[in-house]
Formats: sequence, structure tokens, C-alpha cells
Amino acid sequence: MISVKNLSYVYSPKTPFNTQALFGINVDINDGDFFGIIGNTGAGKSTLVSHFNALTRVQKNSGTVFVDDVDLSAKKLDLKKLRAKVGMVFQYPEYQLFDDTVEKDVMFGPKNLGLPVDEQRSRAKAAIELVGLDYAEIAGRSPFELSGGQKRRVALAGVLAMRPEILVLDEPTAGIDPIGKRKLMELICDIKKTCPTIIMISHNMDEIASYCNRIAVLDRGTVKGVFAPRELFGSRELLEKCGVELPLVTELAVGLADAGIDIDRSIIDQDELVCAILKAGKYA
Amino acid sequence: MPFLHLQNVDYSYPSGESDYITALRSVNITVERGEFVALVGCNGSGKSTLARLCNGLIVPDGGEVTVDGMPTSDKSALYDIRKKIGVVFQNPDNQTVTTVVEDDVAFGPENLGLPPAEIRERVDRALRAVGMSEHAKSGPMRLSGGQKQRVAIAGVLAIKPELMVLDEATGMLDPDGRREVLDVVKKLNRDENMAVLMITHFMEEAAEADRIIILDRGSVVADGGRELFATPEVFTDAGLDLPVYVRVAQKLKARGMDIGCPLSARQFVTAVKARLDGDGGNV
Amino acid sequence: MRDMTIGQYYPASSPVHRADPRIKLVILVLYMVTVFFCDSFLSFGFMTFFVLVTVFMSRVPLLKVLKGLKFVLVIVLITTLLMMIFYTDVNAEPIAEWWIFRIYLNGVYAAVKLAWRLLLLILMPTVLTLTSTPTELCDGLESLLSPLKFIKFPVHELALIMSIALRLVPTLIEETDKIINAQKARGAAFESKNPFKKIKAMIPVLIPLFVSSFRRADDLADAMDSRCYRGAKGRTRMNKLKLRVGDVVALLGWCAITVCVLFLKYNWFGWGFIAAWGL
Repeated sequence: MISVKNLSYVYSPKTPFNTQALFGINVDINDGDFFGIIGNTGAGKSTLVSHFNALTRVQKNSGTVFVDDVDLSAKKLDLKKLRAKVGMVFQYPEYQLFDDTVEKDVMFGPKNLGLPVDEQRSRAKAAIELVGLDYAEIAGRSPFELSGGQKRRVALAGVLAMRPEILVLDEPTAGIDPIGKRKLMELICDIKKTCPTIIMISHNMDEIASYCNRIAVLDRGTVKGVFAPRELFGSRELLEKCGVELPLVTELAVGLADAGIDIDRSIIDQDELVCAILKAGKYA
Repeated sequence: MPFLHLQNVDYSYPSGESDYITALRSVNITVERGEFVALVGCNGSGKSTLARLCNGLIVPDGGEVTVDGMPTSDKSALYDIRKKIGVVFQNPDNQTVTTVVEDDVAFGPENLGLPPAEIRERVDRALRAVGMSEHAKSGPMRLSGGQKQRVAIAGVLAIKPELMVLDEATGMLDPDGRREVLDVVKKLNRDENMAVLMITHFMEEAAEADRIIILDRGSVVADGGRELFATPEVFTDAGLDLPVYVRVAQKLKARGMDIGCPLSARQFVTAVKARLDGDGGNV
Repeated sequence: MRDMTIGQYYPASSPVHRADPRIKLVILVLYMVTVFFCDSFLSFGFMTFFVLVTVFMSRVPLLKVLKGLKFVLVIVLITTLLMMIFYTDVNAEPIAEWWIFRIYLNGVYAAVKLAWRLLLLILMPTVLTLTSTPTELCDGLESLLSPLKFIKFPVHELALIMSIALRLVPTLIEETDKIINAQKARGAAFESKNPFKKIKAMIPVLIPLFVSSFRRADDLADAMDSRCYRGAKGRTRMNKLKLRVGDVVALLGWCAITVCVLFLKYNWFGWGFIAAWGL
């Protein structure tokens, strides 16, 4: 569980260029959450999550971040242990691949943890298989000759090989075509079986609505609130207050409701919308 | 004769030491002046190869690409071809040559050898057209992704081409940036009669175009107006999604409520409403 | 590195900003040479006065200018200290003594002058880069070097390369940060004290950086080709450099300053006040 209390963050403090990115953030992320973080570019989403594995250190007198019972504002931290526990996959993670074979690249994380070579290899194999790639076919190939989608999966495997308990994903489906997006999201749901807590930053409201159980809305460095998907997308007031756009399905539901049809405005699923329309037809 | 004409175009690129991967196979595409065409296909369908063929960055292995009658295989015509076709690429960070927005927009007309006064006029006009005038003096690094792409569009506009090719130009943007770029492109097509070939995998964007071309594993599998959405198989077979209103309409049809094929969210609402009001009790 | 003042244009509307970059470059060279002729506190003060006038005219906040000096300040301090410690003056008594170190008055003078000279040498280029965009500087340089075209020197290409490099440096710095963070997230440690280990630890950063730089270069080449680039041939510029009266006045002014400094140094007419003040 991650617990953020009153967290603030200032870039380039004590210089004329200082800009405050976070203002007193309070968020609790529970074990087993599929936690969504949404907000405009510059809302502080990336700054916030980079605290979770201490890539960004908590500044003095700027609140606290706890990952389970580890206080990240402490001076001395076991960074390796923390970074193994909180896996982080950045935007376009394929740009971090560097080694001459896929297997070696995926072994990089376990190697940094100081694990024996056998263990590194078996973890790499498990991770490559977990992301839906054929180990025998791909392990010996150069990561640079793979297709874009394969590269992204390899990069994901590179983080999963550290066996994280919490996985942070920053726009995991950016730049992928729609079918590929759906497949990747299904894969992430699979991963959730072994890595129970997932935190996802996304601009794609459809993904957020269909996969997350709780959603934090960030706006200019503050948390506007943490909501269940229906609570957020069903309330026009909340949406306007938070400047959130609707998932496409919800947009249709709202359009129908506005046209005078008796339909719940908080629908976030296509099949549900179909049922609701048919039902409205019956009782019209 | 069509303005942009790809006739039986084949293209393959080397992979490994002796292998070749076929990117395009006997592709035929035409784009007329003033048209707004969307070219859709999933990753690896050969869309980006096609963009680079249009203005002669690469030359087809077989077949021919002509722009206003000039073949791209004729090296001496390339300069004139590129005056007529502008290309906006995917990565907003990799298209700016200079550190100041207006200097970057000026890069194209400077290459055309225009007198300074005319360059200045074209730059101002182009920046106005994409709504970036107030950022003329800023550095590209300080702009958002959507703004950077609008600057890239201005850089193309300043050359005054007749066709603008957008090679997944919205692929790396957030929803706001995507809307900004799409609005600008639609405006240019409507007000300045600029022909647009928009390469994308966002179906909601493609639905804005007059004509949709579907590319699947290197071949054109469909080419037509928005009525293509009525035959959803052509999209799904090509590994593509459909706009959400089409998907819901399909599901309704499968459950016995046929509302036809809506071509926009608004049409969807109207169709459902009409259907429910018309024979509500009998569904 | 992000705070590096070189290449950080400070937009403002001032006569210094508007001045012809060619003149600014010529003045810079003249200024640098002049600083080397300065040898007395009087001439240093004289030069500093005109630098400050330039800064004032440029409307760039003094703090911003001084920030650019932050990085070299350490070097200046160290050299000054060393100079002070190791200066020996056989003709004078030390003014302070500690262990094996003796500090002489002339040593202090020499050290202060050295520091002052270094700061003057850095100040003006900083002002130049704060008041001119890299593009302007490239244009200026291209124009100044253009006579070299006749000996087939690729002046235009050189200027373009510089301009693109300046444009890409911030992007690459940002990219490096991102990759370092991504590898840190995979447990990579860059904090090792052993230099060999440190270099080895950088490989996972350098390779992705190279790969992406090549990709960027390819993309950029495509973008330039697509925008009708075909080298210097037939190319014109939007902002034609034009000499204005003010530019000529500024250049003449700085020539006068140079003459004055030379005068202070050589004191051709043997004026007493120069001899008296000329430490």
C-alpha cells in the first residue's frame, strides 16, 4: 500500500526558475487496486508517481510518502529493494532497451538486484513469457530488430523480471493502434494476477473507465479527488469541476439522456449501453 | 489526371543481411485537389512507408508515384514535387530545425529562395492559420506537443503546397493536442481548399474525412466514403477498430434493433431517438 | 546542465537585442583582445563600467547574467587562491604567513586582477548569448565567414550544423534524464565511485541515447528534405542582416574604449594620474 500525505514538490528550488509541481497531495493506494491517475499535461502526474520508487526524493518538510512501512522521506533508503518492489514503466519504454539480446536486456534488472545468474535467467524467461512473447523464438534476438509492439513488451518484461509488487505504468498504450491497445490492456490485467497493485497514468478515458477501480484526478498539482469510475463519469458536476472528458461510450449515453431518453448517464460499458437502450425501448 | 497518383506501387526494405520485407504490394491510390482523405491501417500495415513515397523521400521498387503528373523517380522534379506536397511527421520533437518558432516556419520558404518580405508575409500568415502567432518568438522546447505539431503544420503551409500529408501527426499527442491539430487540419481543408491525406489509426479522426482508404499488410483493401462503416468487417479484418457509435449500433442490430449505420455520435443519438419514438413498444 | 546560460536566450526588446549579430561578434572579439591589454585596476574598472552599461542597456536582469557565471566561479576562485598562495615577491615582505605559505601584497593584487580578468572574459559572451538567439549568432557567423566561400569552405553547412546542434542539445539532455531514470527504475546504480564501474554503468544509457539520436537525425533529414531543402543553393533568408547607424556607432564606441585601454596601459603622454592610479 502506498500512502501519500501532504506531499509538495518544487522543481529547481531556491532559484529564479522554481516551479511548484505538487501542492499538498494526499492519496492512499491500497493493495489490489487498479489505480488510475488522470489530469492534463503538467498536472503533476509523473512527478507524483516518480516519488513512489524514490526517483524523485521527498523534499524537506514537504510531506511524506510511505510504501508499506518504508518511509520514503527518510535520508537512508534501500533503493534497490524499493525499486524491485515498485516497478516503473515509463512512457515509450522501448527507448530504454540497450543490450544485444532480448534475454540479456530483460536480465538487466535482476542482475542489478545481485541475483545469481540462474535466477536472473529463469526470471527473464518467466517475464518474457508473461508478456506474451515466445521465449525460444525471441530470447536470442536483438531488441532493436523487433517490431514496435514487441519492443514495448520486452521493455515491460524488463521491469516485471524484478518481480514488483506494485507496478506503475505511465501511458502504457501511447502510440499503439487500437487493437494493439486492447491486447496490451488485457495483458496488463493478466499481469495483475502476479503483481496485485497497478497504478496507471492515462489520457485515454475509455481505458481508465473500463479497467480502474479507483481514479485520482489531478489538476495543476493538486488532487481534485479519488473516485470510483461511475461516481466520476456519472456526475456532470464532478466532471466539470475536474475538467475531465468522458469516455466515448459515456458520451453517447449522455447524448441519449439529453435527447430525452431514459438512460443512466454513468454508463461506461458498451454492452451495458446496448442493454439500456433496448430496455428504454421496451418501456417507452 | 489525379493530383497524387500511386500506380501499382511495390516497396520492400531490407531486413537483416539478405532478407527483404514487403511493405507495400501493388498499391493504387489517388488523391484529388481539395480532398480530405484518411488512410488507416494498424501498426505495420505500411502506412508510414506510403507517406515517404508521396514526396519522393523513397522511390517505389515497382510502379510509379506521380504528383501533378511528375514522377517521383525523376530526381530533377523532386524539388517541384515537394513544393506541391508538404509532409508533417509523427514526432513533434524531430521536425524543428531552429530554436525560434518563426525561424523554423521560415525554413521552407527560405529554401524556395523567396525575397525576405514575402517570406515574412508567408510566415505570419501560416502562424495565424494554425493559431500560433503569439508564440512566434518562443522556443519550440517550451511548447506542448499539440502546439509543436501546429508549428510543424505552419512550416509546411508556408511553402504553400496543394496537398498536406500527415503521417500519424497526432500519434504522440494527448487528447487535447489531437483535437487542436485535427481542428486546424479541418479548417485548412475547408477554408483554404488544402487537400489532406491523413494517415492515422484513430477511427474517430478518420471518420472526419470525405474518403477512407484502408491499408492491410501492404495492400489497399477498401477505398470509399464514410459508408464503409456500414461494412464493419473491412475494418476489423484489417486489425482496426470502429468508432464507438458504429460498434454500439452493430450490437443493437445483433439484438434486433436496427438503427442503420450512424456516421457520427450525433447521428447515432438521432437514429436511436427516432427508432424509440417511432416504434418504441415493438422492439 | 539545464541551467547552462550559454544558449539560453533571454527575450527582451532592447538596443542590445536588436543590434546586428555580426557587429556583436566583432565587438566580442575586440572586447576579448582589449581585456588582455588591461593590466591596472583603473583599466579593469573602466572595462567593467562599460560591461555594466551594456548589461543595463540589454534589460536583462543582472541576476540572470550572474547566474551564467555560477559554474565558472569555482574555477575562478581556485585559480585565484592558487595564484595568491604561490606568488612570490622577492622584493617585499609577506603580509601574512602560515605554515609554508607566504602571501604578498603584490600576490593579492595579481590574484584579484586574474579573477577580474577571467570574470570579464566570461561576462561578455554571456551577455551576447543572452541577447542573441543561437540562430542570429549562426547567421552572423555565416555572414562574417562568407568570404571563405571562395576557398570552397562550407560556411553555410557549418552554420546549419551549429544551429541544429543548438536546437537538439536541450532535447538530448531531456532524453538522457529520461533514460537514466528508466534504468534506475530497473535497479541500475550510477553512484559508484570507481571510474571504470561508472563508465560501465553508463552503457545502458549511452546505447539507447545513440539509437535515439540516429533516429532523430534521420527524422530531421526527412523533415528538411520534405521542406525543399537542397543546401545553400538558391536559399534566401527571412531576416536579412542589415547594418544600422546604431550598430556602427556601437562598434566605433568599443573601438574608442579599446584605444582608451591601450592608452591606460602604455600612457604615451606620460600623464601623471595614470601612473599614480595604475597599480
